[in-house]
Amino acid sequence: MLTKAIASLENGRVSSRWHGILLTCLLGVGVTLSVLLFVKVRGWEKESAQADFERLAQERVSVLQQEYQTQIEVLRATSALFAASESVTRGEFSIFAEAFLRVHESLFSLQWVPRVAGDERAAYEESARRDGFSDFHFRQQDPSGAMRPADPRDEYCPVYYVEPYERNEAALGFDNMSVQSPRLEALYRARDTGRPAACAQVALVQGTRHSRGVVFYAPVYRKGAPRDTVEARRRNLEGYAVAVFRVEDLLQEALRGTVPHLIDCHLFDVSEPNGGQYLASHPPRAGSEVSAAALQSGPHFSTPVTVAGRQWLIVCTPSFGLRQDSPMGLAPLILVAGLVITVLIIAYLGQMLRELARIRNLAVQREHAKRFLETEVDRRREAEESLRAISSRYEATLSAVSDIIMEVDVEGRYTWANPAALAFFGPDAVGRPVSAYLSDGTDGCEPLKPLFQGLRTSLSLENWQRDKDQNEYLLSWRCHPLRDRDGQVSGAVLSARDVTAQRQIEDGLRASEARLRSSNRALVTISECNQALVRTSEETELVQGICRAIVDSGGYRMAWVGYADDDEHGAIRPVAWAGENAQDERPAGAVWARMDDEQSPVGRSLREQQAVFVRDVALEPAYAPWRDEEFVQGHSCALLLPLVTEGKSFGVLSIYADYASAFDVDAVNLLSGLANDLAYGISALRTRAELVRALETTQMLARFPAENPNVVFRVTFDGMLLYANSAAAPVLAAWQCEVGQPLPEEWRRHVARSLDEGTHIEIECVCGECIFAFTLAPVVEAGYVNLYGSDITARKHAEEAQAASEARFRVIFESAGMGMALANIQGCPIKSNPALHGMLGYTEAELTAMTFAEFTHPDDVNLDWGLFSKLVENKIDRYQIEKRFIRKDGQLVWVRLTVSPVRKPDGTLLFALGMVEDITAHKRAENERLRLVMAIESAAEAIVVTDTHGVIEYVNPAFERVTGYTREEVVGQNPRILKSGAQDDDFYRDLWHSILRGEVWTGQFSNKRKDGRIYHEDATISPIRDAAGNIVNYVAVKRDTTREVELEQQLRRTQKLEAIGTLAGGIAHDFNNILQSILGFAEVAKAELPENNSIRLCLDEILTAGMRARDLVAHILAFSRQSSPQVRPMKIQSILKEIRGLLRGTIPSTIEIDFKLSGDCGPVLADPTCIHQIVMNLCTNAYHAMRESGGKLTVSLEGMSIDESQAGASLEVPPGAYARLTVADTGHGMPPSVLERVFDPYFTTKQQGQGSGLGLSVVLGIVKELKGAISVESRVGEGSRFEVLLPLCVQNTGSPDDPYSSEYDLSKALRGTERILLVDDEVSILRTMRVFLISRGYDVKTCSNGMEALELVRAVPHHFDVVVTDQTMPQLTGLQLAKELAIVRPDLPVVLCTGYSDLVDEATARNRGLRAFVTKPFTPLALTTAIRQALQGASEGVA
Amino acid sequence: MPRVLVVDDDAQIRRLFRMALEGEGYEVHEAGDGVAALSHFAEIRPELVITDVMMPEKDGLETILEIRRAAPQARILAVSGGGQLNVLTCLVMARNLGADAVLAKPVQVNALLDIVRQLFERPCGEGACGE
Repeated sequence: MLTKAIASLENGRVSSRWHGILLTCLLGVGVTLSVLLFVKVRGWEKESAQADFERLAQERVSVLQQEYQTQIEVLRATSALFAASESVTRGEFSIFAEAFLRVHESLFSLQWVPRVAGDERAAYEESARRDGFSDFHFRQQDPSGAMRPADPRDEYCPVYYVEPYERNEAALGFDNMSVQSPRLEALYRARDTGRPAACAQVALVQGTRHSRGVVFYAPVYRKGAPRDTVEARRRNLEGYAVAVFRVEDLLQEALRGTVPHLIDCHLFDVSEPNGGQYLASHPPRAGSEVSAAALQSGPHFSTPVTVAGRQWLIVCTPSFGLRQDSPMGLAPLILVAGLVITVLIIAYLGQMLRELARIRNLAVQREHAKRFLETEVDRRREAEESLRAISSRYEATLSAVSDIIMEVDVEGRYTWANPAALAFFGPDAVGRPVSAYLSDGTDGCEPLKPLFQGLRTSLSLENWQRDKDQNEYLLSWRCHPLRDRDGQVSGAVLSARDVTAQRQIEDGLRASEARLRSSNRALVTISECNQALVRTSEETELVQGICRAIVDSGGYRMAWVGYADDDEHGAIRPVAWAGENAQDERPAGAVWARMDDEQSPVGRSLREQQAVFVRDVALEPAYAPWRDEEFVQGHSCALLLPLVTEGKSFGVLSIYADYASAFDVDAVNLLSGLANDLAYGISALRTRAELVRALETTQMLARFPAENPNVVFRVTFDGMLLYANSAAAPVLAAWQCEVGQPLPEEWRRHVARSLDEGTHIEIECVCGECIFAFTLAPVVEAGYVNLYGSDITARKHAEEAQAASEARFRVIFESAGMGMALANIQGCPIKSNPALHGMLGYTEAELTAMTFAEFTHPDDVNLDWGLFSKLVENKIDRYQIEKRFIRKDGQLVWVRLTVSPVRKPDGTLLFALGMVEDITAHKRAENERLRLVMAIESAAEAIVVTDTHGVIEYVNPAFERVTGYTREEVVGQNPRILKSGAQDDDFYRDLWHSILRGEVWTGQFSNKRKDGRIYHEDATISPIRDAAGNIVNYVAVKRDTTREVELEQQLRRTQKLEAIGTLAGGIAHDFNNILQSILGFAEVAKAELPENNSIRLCLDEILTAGMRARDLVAHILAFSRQSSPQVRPMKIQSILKEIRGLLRGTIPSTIEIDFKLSGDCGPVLADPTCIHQIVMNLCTNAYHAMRESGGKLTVSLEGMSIDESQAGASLEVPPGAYARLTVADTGHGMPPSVLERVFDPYFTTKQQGQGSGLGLSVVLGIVKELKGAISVESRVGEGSRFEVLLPLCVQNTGSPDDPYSSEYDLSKALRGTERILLVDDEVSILRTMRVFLISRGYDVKTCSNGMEALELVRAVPHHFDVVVTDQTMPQLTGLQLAKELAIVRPDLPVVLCTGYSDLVDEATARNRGLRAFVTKPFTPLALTTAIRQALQGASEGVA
Repeated sequence: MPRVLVVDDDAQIRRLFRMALEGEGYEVHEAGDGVAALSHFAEIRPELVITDVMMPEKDGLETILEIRRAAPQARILAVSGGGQLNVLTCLVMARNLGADAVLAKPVQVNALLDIVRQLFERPCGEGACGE
């Protein structure tokens, strides 16, 4: 339940009900545990208290017993006093008793009670009276309790001596025999048993105090009288020593030393069957008695004791003190503590549960908050998206409008400009101050201040601005404040429109008004002039009208207008004039005015485009030439006004008056305005004329609309088609309309609308497959509309295609699985797609705030940035790299990044599109693959990969090493190039059969290397499958086992030879015996026959065949004994001596044998068997060469040294000291052809079956092995001579004097007398060894197999000191035997003898616990040394 | 007449040696193994013992050892065809154990007779042949 409650807690679904149950459970468990503990502890306490009580009681009992014993001793001492003394006087007794009385307070009195016969009474009474007790007489108690003289009886037992006398006066003389009292019984008991006896309690009187007492009687017998029987004791009783004790004092005295108030002790006399009589208590009880039975009903400890023949009972009860003293019960404490802890735990747990609930509530609240935040974030993201959309729409709009739109900050600097603004002000407008473009140089910021100060929410103003080409335009601005997030004005948005032309017209009108408001005359003049201006549509007429108006209405004397001709002199050509004397002829002054005339006011006015006032013509030097003329005479002042249009003066208006005041300031201003009006009017007339001309031209051109490639229609106001050019055919076809017919309804409406609005309307429409853009141009006056249409199909399609392309791009960008990002030329991402976010773990906002370098692995930054820079510089068109990005979580992502530029038409980079492909997995796989490749490349095994046809696709370096083929040579080849032919076709068929089925094939090949050598390999060929399970390749893993195969073959060969050797050895003995008989008898028979007997020939054949057989045996033996040579320093001489003996027995006497042995030839490093084989083979060859004809065999040995020159020249040995062994014969010799091949294996000149052909090759092999050389000289008919050079042994470490014989020289072998058990299955070896060992003094017992040896040792384990055993035996090998022996007798040393092929080396043997080890063939020395070693090991082991 | 004891387990060889030696005038006794050889030796006290090395029961090496112990002056010629032990080994051991001369089987009858002659020309029990 608890578990469930906790589980529900964890699940967060806990209810208060569960809390309650849990807490109740805990309360129950806590209370139960506390109560259990309380009960248990109380039990312990009780047991402990009982034990304490019993211990204390026991202590008291034993003290009491001791005290009682002490008192008895006092009595005994008293009786002993009387028994030991002839007589004891009253005084002596007093002294004696005093000592005890002083010590023992409980001793109430000590008495001497003699046995007095009836007749002695008087004498005793008399004696006592003499001692000072004048009224002494024997007394007894009458039934009333009063004392009276004793009645006469046969005997008395009066209290004769008593100490202390003072409190015992009444007792003196009291006859114990007088009453039938308890005393009498005790008296007799003491007398009859001879031991102290106590009587039942008696009342004692000491002073006034009554107390209980006990009287002890100790009998005293006559000295020397017998007391062995009751009768004798009764007869010889002399008296009693009596001790009276107060029981209570006895108790108090005994327990004085104990701790008071712990135990109450009570004494009862239980001798009588009446249930016990109370004696005393400790501590003393005042008056009241208790019964034993009552005490024993409660907690008590009681022990019966025998006190001088009485049975007493000691009852101990715990006193109040003990109960007080017992430890304050621990149990209640535990109970209380347990309950308190339980309550605390429950309180804590309750608190915890409440806390838990609170935490859960918090978690739920947090979850709600989190959800709310997430929703909020989503909402915000949506808002941002829509904001972005609005922003882009806004930007697009700003870019499209033709109005200038700019933003300005509060500092008065342009912060942003739309394309129209940039086109106007130039590309560098942003960042420049507003005033930079103001023509009047005023502070452009000033007018904006109300906006900036928040006083106005919009503002309109006009000012003159210079465009980028410094042309001035009047711009009309609308200004609106820009507010930042806090509502503070951060700048203004300004939009402007060019109103220059409009203003010019307005200004002109305004000037006219001003002039009209001028002086009357001028006004009249102006009015007239204006009328003229308005009225006149012809220039000359206008000018003439003006002049006339000035003169007629203005009252000026004369006015004329001259145009400055554009000739080289700038002559002024008068075109109109009016005034006096000017009716018919040109004004006189007009002809001489020239533009280039420095002096001429007219020229100056023209040049300077200013009004020039000549105050007095007569005084003007410029007029000097004409001063005398009437013209000048009549005019006193003149005003020359230039006619200026579009900044250029084209003429002059000259006004003459006869008084200067006619040209006051207002008049001048008005007249200047008039001149301007005139100029404007002229200009307007000229413009109109030009327009008329242009219109005429246009109309003329319009006459040829047929040639226009664009569609041209003319439609009447009611929609009737008046005209259509040839290009309109497709449209008309689509509309199914012809000239003279009305247009389709829709178009009729458009035409009507155009005429109504009087403006151009542009309409796009689809006609068939084409799209046309029509401009409806109404000709209102004429009441018709021209329609101009152009085919925009291609453009439309292009636009649609672009829009579609953009949409496609967006979809691709957003949904691409590949990461994509747009970056600006600083390499910062400005847009990125979800795939990239997923790849890098950053959101778009985070990415936009970073540069690519920030999340690129530092090692890759330079590469990427270098390429990006080239891209920016337009040096490369795109690039692709593999690089590492760093994810937000810090992990590396390998990516393939492809960056393509998006450029402006001029080639500068707009932004770069990066496509990012996550190749981390690919990279990992690639690394994995690289590792695998490394492993394969460095593998020791040759690895070949082929396709399914067996064509090699790959080989590793090990393959190259093994086969000798390089990779280039074998790739594309079939593995059959390695075929050696050792395997047949079936082999390969099986192989292919296996692997085609998809199985793994394993097997061995013998293949051929490139150099033709054969090698062996273990191969495993496995299929490789693709993902679909199809076999795509085969891989062969091959291990070169050539060396192993060779070693195996070598081992097999060795084992074979050894087997042959064993076999040959086995038969050699018998075979030689047989041959001995054949040859011997043939020889004897031959000797018996006369020379010419034909049977001798037969015997010769027998002898020859026998010799061949003998040689064959010798060869087989020699050849088969190729056991590992054991080289050591040895002298050749000794071996040669042996061979000489052998040869003598075998070579016929027709051959002379000569041995020349030089003693000074030093030892060589060799195996004696090898030297033996060399010499025997050479000698056998020599014998064969001389067998038929006889001759001389010479064997010689000498030391020699070979110097550099000899070594280099003919001999194939290094310089040094050598032993030269020569075997020469005088036989048939050899021809050169034979001589060349004499050492070749299996080459023989003997007939088939006569020789093995191995002899000399064996010799050559041995010599080479010993680092020597052999040479041969031979001449046909003269004989052959073999010379063997063997290097002399340099270090003379051993004892080379006679190694061969020493090996078998028993005198060198170690002696011993131990008992040896020899075990070998080869009986001959067993015997030989036995002889050796016996000759060395050992006691030898042999066994031919292991089981037998084991049985023997088991039977008599300690009969042998050492066991020498062969390893290779049937049933039980040497090692197994050793193991078994170790069980029987662990200390028995074992020497193991092993052969070459036993594969047991010394280390193995020692590991198996063998003491010594000998390799066969062994020498007596080696064997006895090993035995000695084993025995020593054993003795050390024992020691 | 010098007494020769021929010891060989091969009866045919004993007969061969007897024939050859008796032809030369020696008194020849035969023994089939080492045990018989020792009893015969004690009985007839031959001047020369020619013994095979490899024999059943008590072989030649043991025989040589014991004869040499019993009669240090006796002449002993050991003959062996080898066997499990190399001929040379057999014979070298035989000589070391006390044989005066050794011969490898099969032995030329003439060579045998030469050796026997040489042994009788020399005082007993000294050195090997040919010295």
